[in-house]
Amino acid sequence: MELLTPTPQPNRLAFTGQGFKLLVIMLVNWVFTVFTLGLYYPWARVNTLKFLYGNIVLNDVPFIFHGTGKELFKGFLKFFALLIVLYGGYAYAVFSKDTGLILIFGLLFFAFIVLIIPFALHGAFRYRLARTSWSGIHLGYRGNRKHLFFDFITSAGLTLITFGLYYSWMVNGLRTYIIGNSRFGSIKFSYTGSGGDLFIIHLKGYFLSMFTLGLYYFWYRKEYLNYLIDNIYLEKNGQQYPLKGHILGGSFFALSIINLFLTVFTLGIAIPWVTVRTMNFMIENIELPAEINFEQIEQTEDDYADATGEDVLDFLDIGLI
Amino acid sequence: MQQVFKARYFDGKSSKPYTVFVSIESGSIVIQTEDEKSFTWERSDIHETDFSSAIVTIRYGNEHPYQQLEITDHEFIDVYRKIFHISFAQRWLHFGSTSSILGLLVLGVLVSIVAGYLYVLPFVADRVAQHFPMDYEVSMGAQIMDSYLSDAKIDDEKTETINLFFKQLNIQTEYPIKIVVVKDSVVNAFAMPGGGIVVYDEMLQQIDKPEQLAALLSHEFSHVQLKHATRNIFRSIAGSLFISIVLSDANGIANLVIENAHQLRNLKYSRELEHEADENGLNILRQNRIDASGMSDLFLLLKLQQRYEPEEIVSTHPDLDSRIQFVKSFQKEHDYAPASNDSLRYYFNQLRN
Repeated sequence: MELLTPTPQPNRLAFTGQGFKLLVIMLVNWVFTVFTLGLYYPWARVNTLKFLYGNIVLNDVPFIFHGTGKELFKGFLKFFALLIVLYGGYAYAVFSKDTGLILIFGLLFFAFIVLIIPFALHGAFRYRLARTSWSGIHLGYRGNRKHLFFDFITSAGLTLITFGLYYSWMVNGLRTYIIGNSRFGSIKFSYTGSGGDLFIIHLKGYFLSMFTLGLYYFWYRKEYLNYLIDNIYLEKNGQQYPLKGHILGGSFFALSIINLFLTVFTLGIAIPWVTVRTMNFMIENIELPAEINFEQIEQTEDDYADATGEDVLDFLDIGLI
Repeated sequence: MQQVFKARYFDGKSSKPYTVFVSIESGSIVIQTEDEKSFTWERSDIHETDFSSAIVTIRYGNEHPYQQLEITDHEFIDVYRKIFHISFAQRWLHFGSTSSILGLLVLGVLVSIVAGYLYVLPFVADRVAQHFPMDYEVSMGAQIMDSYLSDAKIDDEKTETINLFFKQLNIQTEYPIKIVVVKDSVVNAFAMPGGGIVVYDEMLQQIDKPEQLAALLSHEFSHVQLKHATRNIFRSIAGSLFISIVLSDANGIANLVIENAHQLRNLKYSRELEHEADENGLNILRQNRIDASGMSDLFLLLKLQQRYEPEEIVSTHPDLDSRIQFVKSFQKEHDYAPASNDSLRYYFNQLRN
């Protein structure tokens, strides 16, 4: 007769990266990139991503990033082929001195840069998640490209019309869709945040930061980040379990100030340590639901190797993590 | 003696870890489970190896999902790499971070970056600028001048006179010197690359002796003759290029800090150039037997002017007191009796009318 249900063991999430190791990676990347006139860049990016993912450790088992420089390089080639066609058209229009043609190609180019964002987001999430695994189990993104595209276009339009007021709802909508379609093997993710809540956090953060000469900013960021984390749920066997964010305003303040000093007074040499400190801080402040046994996840996701979206986001300087 | 390593094994279907024992035998990986079953991974079907983190990962199979081994013992790599190929970059990344020689190497790279920036780069940029063909310099300067003058009000009469004044200094140069007087309420003058010199008419109003004007023009001319603008441009471009290459992987704050440090360094350089122009200008005055006090008077005048302007913490010019001191020491070193020059006075009076 079993009277006691076993108390769930807490799941431990940690970041184990060391600044010196990242410095070495950055230096090797730097030397190779310079000597190959930039061609090494995709491989350099993979080295950094492998370090960042490989040092996120869940219950003593690391995540692994399986992307390769070759995949990223192919993505770059595809994207640049597109860019060259557009640039070529625009250059042709400029040389022909036809104002109408210049306008058409100018608009086309602008539209391209804006419209490519949802496609890039879709591609990047598919690639980044499919290429990440833990204990052999791959993450994955099952979103629909068309759906994300129309979501993005309508909400970006609304944001434009409302002079940015709709922005919180737009980001929230995209986040709900993307996280809601993300999986970790048989574990499903979902996101329950609301645009209204986000809007109030931003509004309050903006004004209080102003009144306190920026001091409140750190508490504003803390509230924002904790809100994001707290609204992510993991689903297993139909049960929903939330993540919990434990970021404190004071420690976030200390982290930021020390990072700032580290960067400024070493003229940037300490950047690897700054990165590692930040990762450490973020990872250690996320609590995973104890109810989920991560040793019982099943493999459910497909392979996906097209890195074009990843490259486009990198080109546009939109960060994923 | 066969070395055996403890490892974690995942079957690719679930996240359940199995403890296994791994050894390398005749070119293949042999895996033994805790219940004494064993199986072999052939070299040809190894899909992926990763040495970049604290854990060595090997994946096996023909298609996704793969079986996976995770080995914590880094001695495994030494055994593994004797038989299997590890790419150059992976070797670098892995062994680099564990060896202590690398600490020195890292330091060496950093020191050479800094030394390259401080010593090699300015030297090379200066050399290139010195050998930059004069025709290009002149046409580049003319283009900058044209675009600058396109929305400036030129005083044609004074422009003609000031050029005649300058001719009296009997300066030998291959540069086509072209001085332009622009109507502006700012007390200033500057030189473009290749021979263009702009003087604001308010500057002419403030000056009350021909010696001062001679000092001003010989200073600006020295900038042209000594290719200061061109050298500055080359240094600045080379510096920015260098920094953007170095920073390709850095974040925003470091970028900002380093760019500003670079700006400060540029300022220091431009102060050196100003000093050079002062010295060369004084020599021109001496050759014309014009009183060198013209230059210190000019600085006094500028100093008076500065009283009405906010104090600059960082300036492209050396501070005026030290420039005045420099003129005095020049006078001590080169003692000569100034001769009055009637033509200079003539044109100067015309300018003042």
